[in-house]
Amino acid sequence: MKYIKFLRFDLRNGLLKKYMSYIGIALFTTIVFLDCQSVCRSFDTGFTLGEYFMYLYGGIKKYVPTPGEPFKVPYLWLLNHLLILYFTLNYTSADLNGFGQQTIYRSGGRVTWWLSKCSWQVIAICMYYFASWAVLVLLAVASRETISLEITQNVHLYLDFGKTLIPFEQIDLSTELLLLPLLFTVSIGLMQLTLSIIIKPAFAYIISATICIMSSHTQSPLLFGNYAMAARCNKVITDGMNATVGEVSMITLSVICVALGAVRFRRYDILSREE
Amino acid sequence: MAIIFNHVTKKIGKSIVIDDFDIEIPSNQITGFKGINGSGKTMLMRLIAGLIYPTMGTVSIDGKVLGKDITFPPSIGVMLENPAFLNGYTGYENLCLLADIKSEINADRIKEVFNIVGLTENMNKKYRKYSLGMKQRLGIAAAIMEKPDIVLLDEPTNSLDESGVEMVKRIVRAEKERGATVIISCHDGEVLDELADDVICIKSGKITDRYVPNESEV
Repeated sequence: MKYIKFLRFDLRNGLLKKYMSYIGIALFTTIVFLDCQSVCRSFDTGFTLGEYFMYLYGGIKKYVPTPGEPFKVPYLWLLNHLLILYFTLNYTSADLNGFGQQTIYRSGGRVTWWLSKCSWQVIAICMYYFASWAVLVLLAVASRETISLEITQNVHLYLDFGKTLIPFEQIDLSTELLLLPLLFTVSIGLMQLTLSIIIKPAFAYIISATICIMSSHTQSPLLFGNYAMAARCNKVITDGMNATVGEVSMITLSVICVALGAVRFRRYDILSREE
Repeated sequence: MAIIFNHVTKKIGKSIVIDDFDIEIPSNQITGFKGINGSGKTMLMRLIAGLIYPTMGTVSIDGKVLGKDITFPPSIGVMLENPAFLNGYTGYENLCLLADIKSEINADRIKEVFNIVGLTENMNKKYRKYSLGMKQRLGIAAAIMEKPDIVLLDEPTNSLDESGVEMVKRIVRAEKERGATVIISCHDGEVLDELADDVICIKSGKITDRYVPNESEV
């Protein structure tokens, strides 16, 4: 019961009262949409809704350091994750340094409080994704784009895969290619939440950002961001990273972070910011 | 609810904030912690509230060890120095949110504590518009509203005018009357000597003196 009460409280204060961050996400998604549209216009062709998603979550092909070929930062892919991770960074630590000190001792247990914060983190990240998807759909409808998740030959205009694509009809954007980036942000978000009770939230964010940047630079199964890039996924390219392995790895990381956080939080010193 | 500190030492980082604290705080009396800022009074409050745990030793509430047998004292009201509330809510809404966790009290009781702390006229004002004194009064209201067995008040007279200090004295006495164990920390010796049944003096996390105020006058 207390878990439900805490979660209700967190959803009210950490979601409904954070409307400015939703405006931020909406703004970012609009910029992505307009950027994608300008690419589309330069080639005098129309895009499907699915291709707007691909434009945002596609990332970049595997980077192989080669003389004369510098590393291209996948700005949109990075910004999507870093913005959401930033928006969910401070809520828990701010609550723990403030009002949370009055709620936690009334709860009777620390783990209940922690699980509520983890649930909030997952729900908040999902809500940011849903908001971003909703904005993309609205803009696509308003621009009379094709409302379909189908990927067409146009994909080559905005994404350099560097490898053989699997047949277009086999690319199922609706499931894994949309869920993998979400799952990645959730797993890194939970890791960031756990780290923020061990080190300062700012340092936790630096670690999250480093993982995101390293994921885009280096292809490795241990850098989970690789699974969240369509341009490196076996659902899109012939010898890409295994999406199922990515899903299992990210869910495992999430569970481990929640469990480790619960263990740590049982002995955590709840102090004010000044102390 | 007797509180026993059994050779408690607390380190925060590398510094020792509580050093081998070994005392018993009897139930149903007013105990005062006296000491200058940074002497360790607030840390003692946090140890009793279960917000921090000792590095060495144990804190027991009615024989149950905090952090081992229980996570938090089962019935406690805490007002730590500079209590934090939610700026976007009114004072009344803040207390309703807190009361909702345990669901032990109703709206009438919340209104009653607003009256006790002299905030009735401002209960529907947003917390961000509260003055320092009003914030302090709201903190006291939150600590006593559920009629807890243990009441911890950390520097409750901070930011209060004379009438506010008198109100604190009234509340502390009333809480004792009700049967609560009241622990109050203050750097103002006069207030403590007037209120407390037992005063513990603290310096650098250590007990330097313990006395019963006005004992010689009795």
